Amino acid sequence: MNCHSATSCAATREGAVALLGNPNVGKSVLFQRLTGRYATVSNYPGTTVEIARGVSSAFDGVTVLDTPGLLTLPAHGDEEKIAARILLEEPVRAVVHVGDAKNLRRTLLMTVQLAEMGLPMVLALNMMDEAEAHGVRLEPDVLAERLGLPVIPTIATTGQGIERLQCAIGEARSAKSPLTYPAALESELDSLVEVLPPASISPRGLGLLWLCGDPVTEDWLRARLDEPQMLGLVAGRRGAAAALRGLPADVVQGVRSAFVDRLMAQASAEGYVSSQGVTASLTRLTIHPLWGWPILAAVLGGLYAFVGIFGAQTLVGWIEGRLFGETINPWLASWVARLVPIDWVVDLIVGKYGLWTMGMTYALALILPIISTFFLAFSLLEDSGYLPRLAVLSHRVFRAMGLNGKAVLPMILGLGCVTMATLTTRILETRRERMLAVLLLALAVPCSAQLGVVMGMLGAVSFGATLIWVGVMLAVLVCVGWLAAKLVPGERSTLLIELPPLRRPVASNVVVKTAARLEWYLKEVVPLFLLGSILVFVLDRVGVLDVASRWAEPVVTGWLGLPPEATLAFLMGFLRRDFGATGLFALQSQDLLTPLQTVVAMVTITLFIPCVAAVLMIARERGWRMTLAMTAFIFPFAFAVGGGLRLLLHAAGWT
Amino acid sequence: MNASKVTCPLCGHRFHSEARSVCGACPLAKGCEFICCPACGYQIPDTERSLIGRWLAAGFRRRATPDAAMPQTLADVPAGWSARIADTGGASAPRHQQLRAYGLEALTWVRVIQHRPVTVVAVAGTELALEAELARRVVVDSLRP
Repeated sequence: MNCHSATSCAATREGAVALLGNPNVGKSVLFQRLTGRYATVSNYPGTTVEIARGVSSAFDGVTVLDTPGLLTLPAHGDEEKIAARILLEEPVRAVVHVGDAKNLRRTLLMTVQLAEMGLPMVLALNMMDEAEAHGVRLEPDVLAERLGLPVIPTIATTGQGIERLQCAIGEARSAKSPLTYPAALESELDSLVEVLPPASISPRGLGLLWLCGDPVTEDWLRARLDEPQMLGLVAGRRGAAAALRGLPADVVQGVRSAFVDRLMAQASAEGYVSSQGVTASLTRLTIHPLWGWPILAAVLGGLYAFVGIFGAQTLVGWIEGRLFGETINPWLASWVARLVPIDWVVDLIVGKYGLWTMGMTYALALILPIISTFFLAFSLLEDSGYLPRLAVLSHRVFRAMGLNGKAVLPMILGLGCVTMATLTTRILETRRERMLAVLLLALAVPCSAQLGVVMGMLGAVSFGATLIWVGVMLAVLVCVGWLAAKLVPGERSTLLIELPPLRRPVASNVVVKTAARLEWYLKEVVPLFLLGSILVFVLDRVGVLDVASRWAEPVVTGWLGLPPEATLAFLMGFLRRDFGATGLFALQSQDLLTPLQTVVAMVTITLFIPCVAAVLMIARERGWRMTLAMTAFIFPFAFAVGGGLRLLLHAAGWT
Repeated sequence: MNASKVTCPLCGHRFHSEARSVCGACPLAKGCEFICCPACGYQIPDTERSLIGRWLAAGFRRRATPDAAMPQTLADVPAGWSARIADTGGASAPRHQQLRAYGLEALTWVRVIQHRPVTVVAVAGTELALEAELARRVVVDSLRP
């Protein structure tokens, strides 16, 4: 398609271009293609839980919105409601419905629904390569004609069809509603058109959302209508249900399904054929009740070898021991001492608790190599589509904790960053489930930096020490989860999750995602590590560190049985637990920790709240009251478990 | 046992599983994992109480060939078989709508891949995992290998 100028084709409406569609259909990749702005892309539903905004140069600075996946309207979970609100509350000049070409039926069901809203719209049939690989043959022109809107086949990962899509967005127009519902419903819709307040979508689309019981629409209407008007709407909906002898949502869905079936028969030359071969077999084996476990063990073993041994021992040994310890730090220390005449400034920069010797060395020499290897391995796992398959294997464990297997996603993402994983708990359906998941994340899921330090320290002790740490963390997770599930009122929702196919990760996406995360890490962590260094330096200078050490001695040396120097690490752990863990790493490097002390210290600090950013995120998602309650529980609990473990291991003969 | 009525495999007598009319006189009744037929005394494993009995019974059920004419739920369809959906209305309203959005609606054929640890089904290009509790709410009316 030859588009002379995307800008000249642009629609005259005001507002943004919104990318909407089912979860895991490639909206974020399209967003990148249209705006050039990076958005995290993975092979599992729920990667996007907030709206991302970017500016498209092809449309003369028009904003493009990347939205969370929307499975159904009425919207259910929090992230679906965010996407649904776009339609009602955001001025939208055009909607790009991104659909999975190999799941044509599901795609068209949503297309029909969006078309009824009267917004200028384009259908991007994405993943055409996968559809063709599965034998699906489509007639986009037939679809376009029957739906009355542009239908553009795309392969977002390679950029195929993007230029045509840009042109089509510029020329997008409102599609005609192709459906007629039973008389009782049409009559109620006609009445609604008279009373509904003006919205960015058509009155008919708004009326259908209301009749189908969409909670976002209900909230939107309640904010604009008075109580008698709302009562009138409710009565009308009840009347329609009585006349239809069923829920309007079911009747509407039935009409849409019948239309889509007819459309499929005309526009789909050949249907989906299940794939065979090695990938298909591996896909099955990853969720097999027996073989799924050895595969999981192999994946975890590979992760441990790459991050725990190669990253935390080999790379750190080289960078921290040789590069920083033998070359950079001594050289810098001598230069600063020569150039700066004030002693305390020299100490602040290259002293025991100096900005460079502590803050930057911790961040760059100890943590950076570890999280680089972790983020790389994690990106590969994310893009392979393996992670959601763990929902199948882990469901029973999460069931005991009042959750379902879907909770494995935020838990595993927590291994990358607990703060971001707290946001991902939005994919869980009930408030109770989100609260339980946030508590478990804050308590017993170590983030990448923490995990790397733990692997490095415990790997240096013995594999048994690592197993004890893993065992304690899992026991805490299950026991606290089980107890919290008993105490928190409410019911568990049943598991229903889509399992995306295993895919070969695209190298460019893995590299870009790893680099973006490392950039974020450096921006987030380095300032906090520097701040922590200054704090420790000041506390040391004014003598508070000694007082705090003496004050904390009964707990740190008495109860946990650690050397007095470990007090400083735990104080740093209140700021960021990986900062504290790195302090313990430094103690171990100086042979100040025995194997028993190393295990106890690692368990205790892992059970700390992750960091200040995580606290702020928990407060944003769950409120300050719950955040304070969690904090008040977690810190004493961490010391109680650490001390209890010390007694147990001591009794078992550990020293 | 799920069924309120039990048929004795030895004498064919049908009785309520919870009646336990003969248990009162038995000194081993406390913690017993059997149901005794009140007519002949035959011991039938109580799969509600016996963990091992439940696992083994579930294993044998999976190997059984289903009666293609008998309406049942998705949870009863053996792995590797396809089933035609009759109704998903037994699920909660949100789940019902989500199942329909995924393509699990009346007259659609789905293939059951496995039941353990959770039920996994394939419908067109989508693979879905759903737990047994939800699979039991999806009624099917026809099966094929």
